[in-house]
Amino acid sequence: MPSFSSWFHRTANPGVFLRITKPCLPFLSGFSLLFLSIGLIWGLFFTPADWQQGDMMRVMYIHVPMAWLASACYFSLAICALLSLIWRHSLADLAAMEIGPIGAASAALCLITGSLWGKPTWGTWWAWDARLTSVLILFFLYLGHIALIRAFDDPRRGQKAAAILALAGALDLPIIKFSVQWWNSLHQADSITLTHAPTISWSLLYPLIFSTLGFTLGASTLIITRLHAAILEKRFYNLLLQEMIEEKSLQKENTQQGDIF
Amino acid sequence: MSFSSLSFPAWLSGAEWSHHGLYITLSYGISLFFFIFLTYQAHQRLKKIQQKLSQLSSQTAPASPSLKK
Repeated sequence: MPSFSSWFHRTANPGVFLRITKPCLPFLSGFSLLFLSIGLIWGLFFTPADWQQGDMMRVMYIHVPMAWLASACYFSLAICALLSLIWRHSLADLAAMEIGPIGAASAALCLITGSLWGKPTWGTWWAWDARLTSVLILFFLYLGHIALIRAFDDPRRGQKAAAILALAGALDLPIIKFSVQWWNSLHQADSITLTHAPTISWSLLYPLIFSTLGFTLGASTLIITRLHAAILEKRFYNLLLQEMIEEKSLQKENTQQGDIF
Repeated sequence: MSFSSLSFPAWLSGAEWSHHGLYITLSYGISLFFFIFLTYQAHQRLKKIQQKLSQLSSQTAPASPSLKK
């Protein structure tokens, strides 16, 4: 029976990854659409308004999944960085390159929707609050990663520098999570924790679970599709390069034969 | 949960529209637009590279059988 390690190394091969994930894509996108439709329609039209915030709390069904995605994508980025630095997996580098923009978009959307939620409830678009500032730093980390991975002529150097940045930046994740406990924050405390019962009503929580699941599956589909494109692009350039080399060696052979005769 | 609890008119009409409805619509609109755009872009990229690959392999197939793989 093959060990987990050998299975893992075999699956991390781009060709095997393509073969395994290709049939999963229609299911992933189908379930994503289904969960998103249920979560967002339920949250927008069927949940009761909050006694304090009124209808503005409906922004939660977009804002919370975006915040979750921003953190989850960065966590995946840090895992890819670790795999890239330790085992030099080419798939991990490609994945890091494709996860970055999705994570950056999620962090930006989290900040934008938070701002739109904050104006009517807090009376301000922005505050230099610990939670808000740490998410803004996460957004800048994403931008830094995207820039750094493409900044060198030698892609290997860019990937290594970006992997180090991703690992160092992972320190921001616990700061985001615990910022509302460590500092006096304008942002509300977590409503859902692993250790306690949720402090949010179940009638508001069910659609949130659906929309978060929907966005998570949607983002996974998006990342896998981008990864497929990246693998095929790499294959295309390798084929092109191989063809050029073959053509050049053929030309060289012809000129050498011409010299002889 | 029934259709009688539908809160559509409360936030999308009347006086509340001026800010609450606008902020809610903007939040959903911007986020969904970005996600749909990114998905469309990824599919276009995949389609383009698949076409390029099939073109390349059809061009080079007679000359080099190894490229068929």
